[in-house]
Amino acid sequence: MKGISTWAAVIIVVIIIVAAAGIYFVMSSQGGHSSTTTSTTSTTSKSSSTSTSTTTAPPQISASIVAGGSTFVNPAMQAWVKGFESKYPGIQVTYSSTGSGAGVNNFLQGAYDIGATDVPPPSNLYQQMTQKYGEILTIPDVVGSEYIIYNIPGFTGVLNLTPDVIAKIYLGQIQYWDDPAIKALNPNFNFPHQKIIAVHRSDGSGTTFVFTYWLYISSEAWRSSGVGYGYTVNWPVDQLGNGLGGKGNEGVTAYVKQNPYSIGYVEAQYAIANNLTGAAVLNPSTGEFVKPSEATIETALQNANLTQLPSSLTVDMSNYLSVFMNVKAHNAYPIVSFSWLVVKVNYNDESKAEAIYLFLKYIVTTGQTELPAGYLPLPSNVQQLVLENLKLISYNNKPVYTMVS
Amino acid sequence: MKIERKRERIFYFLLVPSSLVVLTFVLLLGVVVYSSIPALDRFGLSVYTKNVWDPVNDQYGGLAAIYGTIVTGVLSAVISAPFATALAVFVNDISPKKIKSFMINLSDLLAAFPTVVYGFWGLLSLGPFLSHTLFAFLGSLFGLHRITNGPSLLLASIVLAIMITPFASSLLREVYSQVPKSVDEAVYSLGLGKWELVVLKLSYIKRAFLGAYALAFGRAVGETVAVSLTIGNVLNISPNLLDPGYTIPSLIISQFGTAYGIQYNVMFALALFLVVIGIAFVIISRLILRVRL
Repeated sequence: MKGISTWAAVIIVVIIIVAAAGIYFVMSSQGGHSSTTTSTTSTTSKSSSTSTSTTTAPPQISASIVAGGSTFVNPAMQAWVKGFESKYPGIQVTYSSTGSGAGVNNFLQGAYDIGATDVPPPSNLYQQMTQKYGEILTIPDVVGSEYIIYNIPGFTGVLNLTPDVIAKIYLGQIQYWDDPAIKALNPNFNFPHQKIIAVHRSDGSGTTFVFTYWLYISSEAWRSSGVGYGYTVNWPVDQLGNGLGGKGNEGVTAYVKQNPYSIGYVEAQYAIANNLTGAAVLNPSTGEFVKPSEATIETALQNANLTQLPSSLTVDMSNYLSVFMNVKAHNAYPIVSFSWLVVKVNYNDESKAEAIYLFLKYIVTTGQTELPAGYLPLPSNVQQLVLENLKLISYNNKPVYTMVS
Repeated sequence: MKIERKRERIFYFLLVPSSLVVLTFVLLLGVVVYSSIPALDRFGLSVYTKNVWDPVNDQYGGLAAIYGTIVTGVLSAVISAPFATALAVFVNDISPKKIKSFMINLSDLLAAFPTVVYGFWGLLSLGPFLSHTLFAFLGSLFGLHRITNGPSLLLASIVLAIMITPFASSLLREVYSQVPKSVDEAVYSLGLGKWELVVLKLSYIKRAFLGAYALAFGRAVGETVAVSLTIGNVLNISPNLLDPGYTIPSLIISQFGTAYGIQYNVMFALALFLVVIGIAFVIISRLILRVRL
């Protein structure tokens, strides 16, 4: 019997260790603050002693970067990672497509070196980040836009919509397709008396954030409703039983295709890649109805007033979401925005700082020429702005760009 | 003697995984309770009694999801019960030997299908079909509001029912086949027919029936993907089953990725409610079993 009891003791000890490790892992992934600070202080002392030997910066930097977030940017990111890793074989980049909110969240928790999000981190999260990491860079990496898609049997041509009409549909104030407001915009089609099914995202998403933010700045009806804007909002149309929530762009598209008399919003890149037709949307700045296409989105970018953007991207960028929306120019599509990357400015690990600088530089220069179908590159003036700001990335408060270039 | 000892040791060693079940349960429950405390602290029970989901203003109440979870869970069990019972009776007492094994294999295969397949099939094929037939009929019969071409509480319940039927039926058919042969002999010797035999045998397995449906209900209530694809995902409490709705698991799978702050904790509070529903269901079925059937 003695043999069995020692076995039992060993097994119990193993179980306790596994359980303790499990609990520790769970706790640290939730809180995590204390453990990360202690580990960073320990690396400071180590790397400062080795820094003298590596200042000559060999072209082969060995580091690994963990990035993740936005599902929208994922196809572009995979292309960038592939191109970048073949240029710098010593640097390993992993990107997980977990959603914008998770990108920001995991960056804040310390799980990601680079957080990707379709909208700049909201002010409260930005403050938490600066408290934890010091300065934060929020840089645009690719252009985003949204299509309003619809399913009206028998309808041909292009549906015209204004921000107010779209807002009122999602607020449940316009419930039927033959509403006078819709008929006035599309006098050539005899709309049936059918309820409008308003399809929105069921998962928290940057797409919803951009869509609701655009409604917020463009429609008085939306502002006064108090719904506001965010990754997920409290859709008033749902309470009437006229809403539907689809998961991801593909979920929204499936619901719109399946349900006659429905309307929805999807990422432009997804719409272009899948040949979806978007409604022509009124640009309130010009009074024109503009059909979404690569050309009209491009027009909005070219004519945006970039002096509105701050020269330093280390500020809270959530105030600058509207720079590319409702651009005042002929044929400028109104719902245009950026997708963003969030990174720390100062690092305690020299090779990591250099690797992140090189990767981000690659994204805004070479990466912009290697975009998959449906993506639009950053305008050259924005590229310049980002490149200037990347020079802030530093190791122990010394900028790293001089060491690698 | 020595060999015996060694074998005994190995035997005891093999029992270790069973203790891991307890450990897993305790750890999981611990995490769920620990993470839901901030939400319960802040909102109290209104997390369960209010219907609002507003991350913009940080207001949360999952009543619509709780309503949808219970409705789809109960409805799918009710819809599935006659089919599962019929299948169990058929393969045991009615069908020829060859068809029997074919049916059993087929239904076991169905039980092993990934749920996302059921979800897409429900969304793309079954939904539009039912919408034009059954839902249109129900809608005009009762004068119900019906706008979607499928996605609704009823569609989700039907898809769930189809998913849990093979599972419930496999449990039922095993128990049904355990009813002693002497019952068959007695019934036939009295000159009674198949119908009387089946009714009598079913009365023997009433308890097993409850047990099987406690498990099947648990499956239905915990399902995420298939429900998320067919229910419409809107926070709407409507007695009209043709309206879209939400369930707790589909809400969690939809929003967990972007939840931060208190929303994260609210998710766990709702998961805790799911655990409570599960435990309550087990207790209720035990209580029913105590009453002599």
